[in-house]
Amino acid sequence: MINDPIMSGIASGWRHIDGSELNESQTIEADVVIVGTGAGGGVTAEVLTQAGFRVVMVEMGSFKSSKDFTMEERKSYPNLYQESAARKTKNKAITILQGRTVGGSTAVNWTTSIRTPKQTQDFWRSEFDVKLDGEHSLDPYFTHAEKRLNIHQWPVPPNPNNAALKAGCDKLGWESTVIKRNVRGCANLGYCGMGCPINAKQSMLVTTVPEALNNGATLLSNVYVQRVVHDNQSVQSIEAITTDKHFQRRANVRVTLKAKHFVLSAGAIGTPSILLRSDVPNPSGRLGKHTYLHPTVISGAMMPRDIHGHSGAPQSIYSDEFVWKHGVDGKLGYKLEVPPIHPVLIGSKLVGYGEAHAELMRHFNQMQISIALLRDGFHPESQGGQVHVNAYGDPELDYPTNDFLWDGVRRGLLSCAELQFAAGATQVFANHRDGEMYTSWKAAKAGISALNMQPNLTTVASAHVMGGCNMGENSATSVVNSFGQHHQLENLSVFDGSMLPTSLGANPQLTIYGLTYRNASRLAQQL
Amino acid sequence: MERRQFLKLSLVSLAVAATGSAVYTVADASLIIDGTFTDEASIALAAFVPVILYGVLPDAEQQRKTIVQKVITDVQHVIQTLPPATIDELNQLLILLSSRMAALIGLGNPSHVDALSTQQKMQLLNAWRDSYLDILQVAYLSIKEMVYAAFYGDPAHWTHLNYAKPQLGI
Repeated sequence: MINDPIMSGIASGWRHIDGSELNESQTIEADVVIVGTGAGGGVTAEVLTQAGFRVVMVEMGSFKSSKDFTMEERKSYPNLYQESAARKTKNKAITILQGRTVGGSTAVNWTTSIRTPKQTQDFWRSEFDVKLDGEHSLDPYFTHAEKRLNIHQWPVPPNPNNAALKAGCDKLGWESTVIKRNVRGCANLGYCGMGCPINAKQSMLVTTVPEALNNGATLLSNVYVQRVVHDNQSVQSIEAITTDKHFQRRANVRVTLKAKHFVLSAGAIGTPSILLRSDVPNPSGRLGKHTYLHPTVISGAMMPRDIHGHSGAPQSIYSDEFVWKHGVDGKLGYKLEVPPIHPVLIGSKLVGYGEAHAELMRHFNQMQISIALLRDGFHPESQGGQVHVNAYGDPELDYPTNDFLWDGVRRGLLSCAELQFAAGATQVFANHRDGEMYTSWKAAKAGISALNMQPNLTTVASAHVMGGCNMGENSATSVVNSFGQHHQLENLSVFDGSMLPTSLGANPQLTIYGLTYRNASRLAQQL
Repeated sequence: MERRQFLKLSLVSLAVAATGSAVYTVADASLIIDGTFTDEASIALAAFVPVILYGVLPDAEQQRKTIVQKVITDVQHVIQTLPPATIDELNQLLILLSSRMAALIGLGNPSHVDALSTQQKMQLLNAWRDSYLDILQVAYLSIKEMVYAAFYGDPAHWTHLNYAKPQLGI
């Protein structure tokens, strides 16, 4: 029997309140209230409870654990993902994958752990005056996070899906890197995206959140924060509403949270939407704006051998050949990776229907899929999207899809196709309405170059949402300072991916861990 | 007026002109009640499921019907967890599908979708897929996504993929 550490912890006396089972409205007080239990919230809870503070963590998702992680998408998407993995941008062009569960997106990510690229840090320094030097360097905090979460270079040979990426890069003379992963005792299953069934992935669910609970923190799950109550100078309380098991609001059972300090770690889209609903001071005008996605495009290939892309560590190789190719602020650069190949993820995203779709799916085990993640946010024509709050009070991201983006999409698809043929693909299909099964790189190059690029013609997805409450020392161009402190509300901090002023050009979790360990440690000293 | 809202109202106007009064107004109809489809919604979506899943459904009529019903049921399970604005959008999609508007716009033929032949349904889907109207492209993609997510989310259909999830030792 696989030990479920969450069940053990609850049995040992952790303070957990399931909002879906509360019958009466409540008021709860603490030293610090933390909204969200992902990369930012989990680390903050650990740091502050270790420093002796009374902490309450508030999570809109449920408290699921390894006993619930059955390696089936039909359960994992509604249970663990924002909007049941159906979240999309306003024009429906981009699907957004974010976590909605204790542990946040770290509970469903694919374990890739990369420090913030130097070029990105340099850009933040020069364009946003973010403090990253000397005593403010992130390096010691990256080191701490890497040790805490056992982040290490994956020693197991890549699965065939990743091996194809490496083979293609080797053949073409492109750079490739072995990925570092936050795992301990990983059995190389490949189901990181559905919640690790054996607790090997060192997500916040099995590391920092349990540490905080062991230190006496209280966790509320199925509780949705609606707004912060403030007087334009400081925050007095948070108003939240409970949700049922289907995440629908229960209007008659509410929770009020009072504290000396409040930390928002609800993630990009989540945190900005709370602040927008709260009508907080916004003199920079940037709240909710400049939200970035690493828009990701998909290229499928048929290989002459079995790939079984559902099996094995989902990401163990990446290529940075094209991330900085045109300079930090030139044409969109992109990172090459592969995704896990699972039935719903692929079946629902492949273009076409009927017999053509069925034929592709019959070759499920021979499919190799490569993805290109575009580095948005560094060029004037790539300024990201804006979070709005709809009539129901829920967030919606309006991310413009312009010619600059589509140029990056096209080049990303071309690079994926070139790589796949170099790796031995017999056919490559750009996942585009008008795409064909190309049988040579020459044909693919001509075909993809001629494709009409518009919303909803090719699948674009995002698993990395960043920005919307960007940091910086100048309050005219940022929402929070370098340390996540809100420029106008003195007892409010933002510790999550919404702090990022641009996208990263790297998978975000280690950046958020590093920033949060630094900023939360500083906060602990100040409180 | 927001473009999407304009298109929604224009489609309704078009449909009223084409079909008389036998079309729900945008404001009045609810084909999803407490996360469950009305019969009208189920029939409309069920009309398209065999077309989308052509190539993976068995030939036997009763088996096909059972699978189609299971897909509809599983789609509803997910809808129950969606935010209200998304449920509203899906409701609009189902209104479109269940009215003669769908075939009128896709084929120029004001029939109910369950009266169309398989070939006609494919032509309708292709017309929406290739339409210059965002709302129809999105409608096409939404139907596909819902149906494939429900179908391939069911382990009973993984034999088509020659796939099984790992069995963890106890």
